[in-house]
Amino acid sequence: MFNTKYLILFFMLISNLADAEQCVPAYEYIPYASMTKSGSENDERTGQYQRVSPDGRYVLRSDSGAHLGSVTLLEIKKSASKNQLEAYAYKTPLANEAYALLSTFRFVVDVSGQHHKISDIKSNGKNSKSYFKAGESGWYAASTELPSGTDNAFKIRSIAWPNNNASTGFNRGSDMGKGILYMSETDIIKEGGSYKIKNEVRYKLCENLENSEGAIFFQPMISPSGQFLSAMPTNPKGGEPTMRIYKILDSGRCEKIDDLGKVSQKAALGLESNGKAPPVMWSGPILVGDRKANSPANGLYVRDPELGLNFYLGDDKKSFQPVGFPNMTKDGRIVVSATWKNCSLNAAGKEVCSDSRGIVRLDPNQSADVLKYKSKGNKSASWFKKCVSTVDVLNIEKEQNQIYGFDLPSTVINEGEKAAQ
Amino acid sequence: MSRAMSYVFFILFVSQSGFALNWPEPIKCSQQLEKILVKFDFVADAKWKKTDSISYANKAYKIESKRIGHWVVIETNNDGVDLVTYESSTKKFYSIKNKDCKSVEEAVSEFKMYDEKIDKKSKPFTDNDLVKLIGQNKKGVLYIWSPRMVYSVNHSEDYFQLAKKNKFEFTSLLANDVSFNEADQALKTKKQKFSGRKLASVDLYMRDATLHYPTFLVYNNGQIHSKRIVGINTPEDFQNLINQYATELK
Repeated sequence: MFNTKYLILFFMLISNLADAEQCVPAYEYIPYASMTKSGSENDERTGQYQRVSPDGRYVLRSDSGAHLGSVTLLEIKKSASKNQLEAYAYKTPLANEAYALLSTFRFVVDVSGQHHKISDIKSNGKNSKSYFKAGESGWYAASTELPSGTDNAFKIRSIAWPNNNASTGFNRGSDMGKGILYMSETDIIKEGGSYKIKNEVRYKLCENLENSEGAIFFQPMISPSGQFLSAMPTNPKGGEPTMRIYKILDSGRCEKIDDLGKVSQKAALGLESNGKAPPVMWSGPILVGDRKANSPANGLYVRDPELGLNFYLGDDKKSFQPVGFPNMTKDGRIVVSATWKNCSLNAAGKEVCSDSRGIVRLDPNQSADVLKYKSKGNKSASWFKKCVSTVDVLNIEKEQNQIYGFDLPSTVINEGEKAAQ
Repeated sequence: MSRAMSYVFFILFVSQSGFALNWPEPIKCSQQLEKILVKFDFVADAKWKKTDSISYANKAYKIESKRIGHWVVIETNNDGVDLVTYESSTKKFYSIKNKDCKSVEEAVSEFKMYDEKIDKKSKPFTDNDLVKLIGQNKKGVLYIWSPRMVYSVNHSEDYFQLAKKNKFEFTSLLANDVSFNEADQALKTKKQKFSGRKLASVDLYMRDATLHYPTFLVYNNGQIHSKRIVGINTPEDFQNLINQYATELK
């Protein structure tokens, strides 16, 4: 006869296991596929500027070192030989701080405004073709596709700073101009297999805030929904230049809705829900932290503007250091390029650690700081849930496959694809 | 000596040393912290600036002293305060619990912006170098760049020329977290060779010079402006900003 107590414990265990299967890993550490033993090749390729696809499978990375100026598309997938996730690189024809339609990745975009498809880049690399040129082009450009678009008709909202005004640009063929953010809204339609601009309107962005925020904004980023902007005003009246979040209203007008109260790296925005302000992510220095730390360390943070709280997303076990700008996927994970420590015990039982580089994909809901907050029964944030589930991820992947024009699910390993080196 | 006498002596000492600090929030054990900080010479209107903390339940702030490279950071929560003092490459860590204001733990470590033994090719630019540079009482621009941020490589020559045109000194510094080789490889794509110096100044790190590249800091009359210029600007905006900041330092 089973003791009732053990029976209950057994069912609890089964229940927990089922739950555990549904959650994605709290942290995934994904090395670059081409990592050499010394790591030198990828050290040089590491860049800080990157965009992440809504399903967290693709990262558009501006390269460093000998590859400065080039942009690679990283695909995260399981390697055939090691049965582990790795980030494979494809060459692209894009340059400098290329960007993407953040909410869909239907197109990735060169700084010239030329739009390319991921499927084409995966097949043709540097020779992939441009389908159309549209939207803002210039320094710190960012864009997204507004909701409800299809491949036949969609609207792009793009921002850039500064913008077209040949008279004040550097005298080297540049068409950059005044240091004011601009925003374009471009309607694209597909006719006879070609994408065409149906309509395009252009606004000065946040000009209505000039009296309080000044005219120049540093480090602008647009939210995937296209409804919010993060930026740091250079000369705000009566205050310090701190990172702020604005809601984009009609005709390029803005309303300040949050202030981090501090300077920061570029602050990326996640998806909002129920009309609430989106979560904000950035990486920044840890100045107190470990009492024995003897060199600069960075942490990854997510802020909920409604709660006015910043959560720390570190992982004590791997001590990862964000290198690039973080992004949030549509399912709620955060993706960032990073370095981390791989530690194991050697034959003598001594812990030996080595440094790795690649992509970290994490579920903020499962981070220690968010769990601690939740455990105290505090007010919930709009993006909180128990965890990001494997079903959430598969659903978004399925949606994205249709947008990319892929037939294959991401788990299929395509041996024919060769990492671009 | 009675406790009251000690307190009087402490207050006298504090007032004579010119120590004055407005805490960014009510701190229960502020007197204990002030004892630790008494040797720091803060500017009269020094303000605490928010920085990142390692929990939603904590708040972190930093403040500069008059001396280059000497900064104080605190991280507070309901239990107490962790305090870190940076004196260039010397970092001291203290932890004070609210329950008794006495349990001070201390750890002292050497703080290096990068390991100079590993990257021997890069010549470090330290706080001492910064003191010498701004001590010349000239006006200038510090340009901090990284091969990982392409515009900071592409436009360094443009900003050098603009600074020169406006009679500003121009000091280019490589980010602390990249190697000489990575920088050199990036510059080779522009047919240039890296011969500059690498940021090893704790003061510049505390001034957020390493958050984004390029970052510009303007100095004049022996002072560094607290506002940074971040990222690429048009020639017109850049010149306006550096001249405005230099004027504000007169």
